[in-house]
Amino acid sequence: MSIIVNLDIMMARRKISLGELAEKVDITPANLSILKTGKARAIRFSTLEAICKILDCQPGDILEFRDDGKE
Amino acid sequence: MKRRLNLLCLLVMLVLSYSVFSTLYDFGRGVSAGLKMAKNIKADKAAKNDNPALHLKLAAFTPDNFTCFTDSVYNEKTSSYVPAMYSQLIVSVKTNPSMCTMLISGILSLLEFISIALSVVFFIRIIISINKSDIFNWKNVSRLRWLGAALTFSFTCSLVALIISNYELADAFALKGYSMHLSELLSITTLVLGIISFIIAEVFAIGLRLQEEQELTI
Repeated sequence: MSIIVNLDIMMARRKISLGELAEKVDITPANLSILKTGKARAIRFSTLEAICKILDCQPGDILEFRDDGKE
Repeated sequence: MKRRLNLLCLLVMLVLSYSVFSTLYDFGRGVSAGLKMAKNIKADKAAKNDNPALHLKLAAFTPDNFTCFTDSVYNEKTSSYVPAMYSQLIVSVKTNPSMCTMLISGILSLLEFISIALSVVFFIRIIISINKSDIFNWKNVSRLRWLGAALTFSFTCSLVALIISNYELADAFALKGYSMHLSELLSITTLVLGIISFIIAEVFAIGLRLQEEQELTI
């Protein structure tokens, strides 16, 4: 089972760059890139809240659960 | 903290050096005695097969009855005989080892020496890495695992060599009122150190995984 991060899709919809989003969320671009590429192991609620606020979306728009066993 | 660590490592090296020095000293005495014996044999060829020093074996015993003292030794302080029980003896017994067992014993001794040398190398590498403030990394986890494996392997080699030696001796020697056993001759310190090294390696690995998770928490 895995959690897929669809941050790049939301960023494209809102037409916001990585650097801009990182500055607004108050995390480094490197960390945001780790999140975007799915290498992050965990995300804090405070970070998720900030991203959802900036991108005007729900957590479900950014995070998706995919059960690898059922595919 | 590093100074304390270095002091502890220095202590370990001093104890190891003492052990190596005393082994080398005994080895030197053995070589010297062997050379003298060789000179005597050269002078008197008839003495070659009769010299008891050629067939020395170390044996460990447990008394069958701890309450009954069947043996005694002469106490020079009181000029009298005192009851005694044997625990370890060096006896001169002719055994007939096969070529195969001699070869296996030789290979095991060599492997034991190599694994001890490797474990010292791994230990030194770990200490150098710690001194460079590069403590929690996967290389050190690997080195600790290899250190544990080397120490455990060294213990296994010494155990097998001891079993072979004891098996040969049991065929040729027995003492009334005693039974031969290995536990007195076997030092489990190496095995315990090896297992501790494995445990520390796993603790390091758990710590590294926790560190990675923490670093990858956004």
